[in-house]
Amino acid sequence: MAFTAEISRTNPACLLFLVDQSSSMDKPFGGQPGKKKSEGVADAINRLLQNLVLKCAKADGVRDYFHVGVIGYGQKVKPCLAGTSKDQPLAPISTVANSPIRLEQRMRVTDDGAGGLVEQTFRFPIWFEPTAGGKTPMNQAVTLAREVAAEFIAVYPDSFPPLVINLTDGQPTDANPLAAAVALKALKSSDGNVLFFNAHLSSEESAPICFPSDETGLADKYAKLLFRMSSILPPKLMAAARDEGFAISGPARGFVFNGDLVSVIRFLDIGTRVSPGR
Amino acid sequence: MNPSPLRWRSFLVPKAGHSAEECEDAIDGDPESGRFAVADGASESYAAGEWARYLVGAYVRPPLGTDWFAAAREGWQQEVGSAALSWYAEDKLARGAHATFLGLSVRPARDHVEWEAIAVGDACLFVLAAGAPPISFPIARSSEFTSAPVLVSSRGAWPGWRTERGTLRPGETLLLATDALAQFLLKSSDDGEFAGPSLMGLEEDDDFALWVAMTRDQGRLRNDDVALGVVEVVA
Repeated sequence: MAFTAEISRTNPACLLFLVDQSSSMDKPFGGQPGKKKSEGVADAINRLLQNLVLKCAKADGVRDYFHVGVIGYGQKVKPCLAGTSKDQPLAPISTVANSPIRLEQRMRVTDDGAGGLVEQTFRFPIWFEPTAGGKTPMNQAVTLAREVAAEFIAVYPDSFPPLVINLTDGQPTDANPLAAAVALKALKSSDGNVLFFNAHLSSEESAPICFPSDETGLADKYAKLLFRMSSILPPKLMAAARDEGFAISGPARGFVFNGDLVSVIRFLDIGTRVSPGR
Repeated sequence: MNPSPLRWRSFLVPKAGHSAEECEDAIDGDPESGRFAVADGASESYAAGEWARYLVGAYVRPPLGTDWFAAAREGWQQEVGSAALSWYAEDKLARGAHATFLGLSVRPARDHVEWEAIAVGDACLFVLAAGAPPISFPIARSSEFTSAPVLVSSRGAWPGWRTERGTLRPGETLLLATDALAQFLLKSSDDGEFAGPSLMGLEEDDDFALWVAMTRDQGRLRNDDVALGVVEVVA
């Protein structure tokens, strides 16, 4: 059965993020009023990486269950995670864990163990600051993602298939990336095809849409394009999404509109999950 | 004092690819006091193996004058301390450790024994009584296992125990198993060939480790830490 390969240190999985850094990202973000889209994307990628590190952090260190890369696209299209380069676009998650550019004090409300709630400070890692400049060469970014995923599969042919997550406001300027997305998703390990998920951050202030199975409710042609580029969730991820309360019906796709893709990190199976609130 | 009417043995095998130190299942028992326990630390939580070991240790040998569960939480807290230096260790530590747990208490009565079990999550107790199909608690079907079971935390809210009780006669047996093995046993029962009796024939650690390796290779046992405890009522 596809998408059941064990994710382990000897058989790690590849997670590749594509981050839109174009000038249009300077406009307001409908998902969080008062914020720009570039801030929404920086926050999203930082939280995705934070969640991924926390998933792999054990008392004896961070276990390299994942090899991670971030491709920024705007003025240039290039790997932009500390510790990665054009020749080495992926870094083990333990390297990522230890290389945020700074740590920020934040507050959260948590259970106090006696039936009440308590405020707790924690250090939030920042790998990316908001960036907005240049055009939106999404087609080039997806094409580069295919090269990175193909190289990973050549080294780990039996891995859980690479997962590519694109964070964008959805308006490519170089070419329609649909064909590049089809080529990316055609790559496969022995466990299944590459997964391509998209998070669409729009200026439109409308309710978030998470994991839809058809495009009828989507606002514009860019959202529809991103929906069509997105993979259908494999059964295990679909079950995990249902467990977390997402209303999933039919062939749900790895697509969110003004929503949060951080939950996808929780769906990745490295053993017993600790669900929110537990 | 009469000799214990119980015979106890247990086995522990780490997930393939993990060292014995990385094993996050814990199992222990004391036939004299009639207390037995098994726990499975959640892979995604911090110092989860330590939490599983404190839960099991405090249940089987409860410290005098204090609640065993409070003692387990205190022991874990003291061991992990607050020495976390990195942002991620600090964050994970603050979220606490998580585990599934099954505790079993057995008391001799006149010509039988009475047992009581408490459980959180999917570590299971199998009751093998003469002339009856095997019963498992708290999970009854092999399809009910997921990668997000209910967990008991070293911090935060307490999910509450599920409880079950019953009686057994000499010659009858109780098995304790963590999720991968429990799921295998329930599946074997669904298929009409319950594998419990053949496992009870294993006496040595090496025999059990070999059985685990072979059953994993056959694709019948999920690659996970495995713990098995056997409580036989002997007299």
